[in-house]
Formats: sequence, structure tokens, C-alpha cells
Amino acid sequence: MSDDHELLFEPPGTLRGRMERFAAHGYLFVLAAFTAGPYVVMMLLSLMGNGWAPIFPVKLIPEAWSFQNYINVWTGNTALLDTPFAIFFMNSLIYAGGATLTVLVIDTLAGYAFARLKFRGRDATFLIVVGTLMVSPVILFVPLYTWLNQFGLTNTRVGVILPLVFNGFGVFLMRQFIKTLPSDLEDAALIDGCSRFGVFWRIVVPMMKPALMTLGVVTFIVSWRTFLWPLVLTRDQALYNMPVALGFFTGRTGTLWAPLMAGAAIALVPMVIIFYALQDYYVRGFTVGGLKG
Amino acid sequence: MGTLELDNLTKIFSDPDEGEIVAVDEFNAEIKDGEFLILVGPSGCGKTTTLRCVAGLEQPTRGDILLDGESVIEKKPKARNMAMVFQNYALYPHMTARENMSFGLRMTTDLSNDEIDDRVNEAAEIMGIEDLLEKKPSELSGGQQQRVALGRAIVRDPEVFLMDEPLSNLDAKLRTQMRTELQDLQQDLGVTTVYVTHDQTEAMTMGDRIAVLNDGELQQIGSPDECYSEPANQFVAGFIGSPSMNFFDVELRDSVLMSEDFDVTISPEIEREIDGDGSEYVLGIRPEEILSEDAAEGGEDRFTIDVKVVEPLGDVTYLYADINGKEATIAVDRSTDLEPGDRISVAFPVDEIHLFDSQTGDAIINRGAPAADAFVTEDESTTEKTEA
Repeated sequence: MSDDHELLFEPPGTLRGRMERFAAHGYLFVLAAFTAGPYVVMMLLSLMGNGWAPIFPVKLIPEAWSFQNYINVWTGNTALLDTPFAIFFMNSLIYAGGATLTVLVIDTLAGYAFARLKFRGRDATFLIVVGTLMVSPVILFVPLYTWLNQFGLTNTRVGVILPLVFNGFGVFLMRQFIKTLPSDLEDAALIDGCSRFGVFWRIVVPMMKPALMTLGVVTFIVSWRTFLWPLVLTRDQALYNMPVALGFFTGRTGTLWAPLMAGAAIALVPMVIIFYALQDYYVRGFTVGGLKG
Repeated sequence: MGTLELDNLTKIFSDPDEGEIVAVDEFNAEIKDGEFLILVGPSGCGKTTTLRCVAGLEQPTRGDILLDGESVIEKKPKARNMAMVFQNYALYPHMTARENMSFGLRMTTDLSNDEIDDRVNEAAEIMGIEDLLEKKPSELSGGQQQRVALGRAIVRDPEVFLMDEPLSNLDAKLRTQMRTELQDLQQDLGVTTVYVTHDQTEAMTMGDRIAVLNDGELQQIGSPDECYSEPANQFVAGFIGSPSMNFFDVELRDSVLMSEDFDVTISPEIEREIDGDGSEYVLGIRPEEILSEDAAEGGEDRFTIDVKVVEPLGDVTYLYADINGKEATIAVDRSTDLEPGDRISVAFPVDEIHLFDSQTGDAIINRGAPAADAFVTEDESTTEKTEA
């Protein structure tokens, strides 16, 4: 980065250099403020009493700091929602975790097949899989709902997870990554005595750790924040995930802002942890097109 | 025992765009127990495909592969008792050198952990990599990785080693060192070895025999000296030897092979082998067999050339000149003081010339004598030749 700075700016000792740096940092500060602002407001409101309302002059600093909203939300002690948030949190974990594990298994196997196995119609099938990326999920809503209804999967956890699982992105990512792995390693493993599945399991999967992490992180985050599909598919409150549950803090008589913000903050925690722990992999997910293929 | 026979081995790939590609075409060879056979040829000649068929990584379209008289064609790679060393070493990156070396034993045998450790240690000692066993491939240099890869092959105690250009990723110095080590290793272990390379030096120095392939067809199989001195055809003559043999189009007239720039008067022995007046041939002569300057003086067929480039290599100097409109290479003593632009006398000694059929490329005369007949079986001679 320092090299880039040297190329971008005049030397720091000069007036022009100092002004350029001041302007650049000012610009970045404003951008950061715009990005971080809503999160700061969320945290501040979540720490206020129940009675906060968006009236002028807006009061953003709590008179008394309190974690009561968090306790109320987590235990289901709010006016609009009496199911403990712990249940929604657990549902979200089940949906995101289930979808992530299933995606990793299915997409890795499919990616391996598309990258390595020779079978009739392989390339055409792969094109169709990648082509699904161009289809808006909204278009699939009605047929998918009808289909799941016929299988009796509406208002079930499996019904929520299944549509999150089938996505051409992961297959594409896995295939591209596997194609970069030297096939000699698999030949060596065959000679060393592995079956075809043994080669996949013992040699290919361990080498795919970066791609598996990337796909895992992206799938978990997307599944964690999914809203529309669980909303449509679930009727029992006990099956809601966090984003759907948060919607219930807005009732006919108004919005419970402080519990809403506390719930949103809780919902954010796993994402922040995962993102910070694995941000390199997350970023790599968006540069997959640049992988050698 | 590890006698390997390739019986009419044929591999055809089907490509949607290019149709059928014959990668290996009716390859016949018998590799004796403990023999070191080099498969050599240009890129795409089918040498690696042949090796992969032997290993069981490709299923031949036709033909058979026999190990000690028993067909292995239906056997899976692991059941063939062969070990393969790959060009890029193919070490499993998530395993240590020890795990890499023991992996095959764990997968295919029911040896105890102690027995496996003993065998790994033994192989590591042979390869001199005892200190590297707990390291992962990424922590090893290219040469060290190659040793681990060889150790992985040794530890299996196979009947046949298959090596696919194992030295080509090493730098020149290390390659020379490993070449010698590999030869020593093969001799010590006495394991039948099939070694694929496109490197001239490796082909000439390492193997008991060389099999030269082109376009999927076996061109010649014989000792390095046979392939060099008595090439079966123009392809082998041009491929074996560096720099390559010089070729010139000539026409026979009154016992003289004539061309634009030079004539070669042939012996009655040669004349008996070739057709009469007016027939055309390709004359071949190796750079080191061309007489130049004083050596050429006095010869009846000497002619002059203008030196274009002088290339001193230390042990020998190569001159480049146009003969019959084609660039020719002439090897001269390293102490030469010739310079570009000099005009010198040269001559092609008749007992060193090769003559090839201008249509088929088959050798008719090798070093001034009639070439060996085609399809000589191994019982009669160590040199085989296939149809061109």
C-alpha cells in the first residue's frame, strides 16, 4: 500500500503532498462515516429505553445505558413478539449452517464431476447450471413454493433450507478451483491405491480448503440474512429466522425501535465474527472470475 | 521379475472437433527385467500416453500390456505393482514427505505402522532425505521434492518404475546431477524402468535402449548408439543427436550423388543398394563427420562454403553455413580461429553418409553401409524398425 501511496501523491514533506493526503483522508472519513453511521445508530438505539421514537429533535445518545433491550429480545419479553429471540437465532443457525454444509457437499461433488469426469453432455449441463445464475430468484418463487407444497415441505425447516442450497455459483466456483489443481496428483493417488472417490476425498478435498472456506463463508452469510423465502414459507413463529422475526417489531401501531435495533445487533454478531475471521476468503469469492480456469 | 510387453498397444482419443486422434499406434516392445527403456520423441508423439496406458491411467483402445506374461489391461492402477514419478512430482501438498511416501503402502498393504515406517526410512536413506521426512512439499526445493517423489516410488518396491519427464522441472546443474543419481539408483535396484523424455542427453545417456516415437508410431527401438549411428529413418536420424543431422536432397548420376553445391562419389557397395541414374535421395551427415579445412584438402569431393556463424561451446565449435540453400551445421575443433565470412573447404566422407528414401524417409545407407532390414526381430538383432 505504501508504494501505491508514493505513486498517488506528491512527497509528504511538500505542501501539495500534505493537502493531497488531507483531502484523500477527509474523503475516506466521510465515506466511512456514511457506511458505519447506521451501525452506530443501531447500537446507540439498542442501548436506550423502550420509548424511543423518530421525532425531532432526534435523540441519539441514551440518557441511561442499558442492556435491557437485549435481555427482553433474547427472552421474548416484548410487546409485539413473545417468542424468545434465542429460538430465531437457533433457526437462523440451522438454516445457514444446514444450507452451508449441504452446499459444500453438493457443489464440491458437482464441481469435481464437471472439472474432472468425462461424460456425455458435461459441458452443456455445466452451461445450464451456470445459466441459472442469470435467473432472478423472484421468478422462481411461485413454482418453487408450489413444488415444495406438493412435497409437504412448506412450514418446515427443510423447506427453508432447500432453495438456499441449489445455486450455480458454488458449482462454478468449485469447478474453476478444481481445474487449477494439477491432475497428476489424482493420477498419483490412483496409482497409490485410491478409488475414484478416495482420490476425491483424500486428495482433492484437502487441497480445496481455500475454495471451501470461500464458498462456506459466502453461503453462510447469504443464508443468514435471507428474508423473503422464510417469510413466505413459514407460518409458525417457532420457525422464523432472525430477519423475519425482526420484521415483527413493526406493528400496526408503530415500531418498537429499541428492541428492533437490539435484535438487529444480535443478528449481526455471527456475521461480524465470520467476516472478520475469514474476510480474505469472502473477498476471494468475488474475484473467482480471476481464477485460472 | 518385471518383464513388460507391449503388444500392439493402440490408444485412440475421440475429439468432438478433430475426430479421432491416434495417440499410440500399434506399439510393440518387450522390456526385459531390470532394463531401462527411454521413450523419446517430440511433443504429442504419444510417449506419455503410452506410459499412462502402462500405468493404467488410460485404457488402451486395442492391444495388450503384459507384466511377466500376464495381461494387466483389466487391472486397476493400484493392482499393477508399478510406481510412477511425475514431471511436477505430484506430491500431496497437505501431507508431509513421510506421509507422501507411506500413503501408497497404507492404501494397498496391511503392513503395520512400524513396518511402513521402516520401509519409508529405508527409502529415505537411499534417497538421502532422512532430514526432510517431516516437512511438507511447499517447504522443499525442486530437487528435494524430486527425491521425495522418487522415494515414494521406491518405497512401494514395485516391479516397474514409470517416469514421466521427472527431471524436466529441475535447473540444468541439478538435472545433470539427478540424471547420474537416477541411473545409479536404477542399476542398484534393478527395477524395470520406462522413462519418458524429450531431452536428447537423457535419452542418449540414461537408458539401455531408446524407443523413438513420432505421431504415435514407434520409429525405432535400439541402443542409444544404434539409434544414433544406424537410424531407421530420417525422423530418427534428425531427432537423435544434437545438433541434428544435416540433410540435403541429392540425385544419383553416374555413381555420383549430385546436388547444387556438392557431389559425393559413392562406393560400388552403396550403388548396389540404390536405384539407378536419376533417382532422388536425402543425404544425411552428422555435423561432426563433415571434414573441414585441412582434413578436407585432397579429397576428391571437397567444396567450399562461406561460414555464416561461429558458435564456440567450449568443448567444440559449431560453424553454420548455407549448403544447397539450407543451413548446415559443421563441428570443428574448439581451437579454431575461423570467423564469420571465412571461406573454407569441406567434404562429406562417403563412409559417413546416410541415405534416406526421398519418399518414405526409410534409411537405405547408414554410415556408408547398407541399412539393417526392416522388421528385424529382437532375436536377430537388438534393433527393431517399424513401418514409416
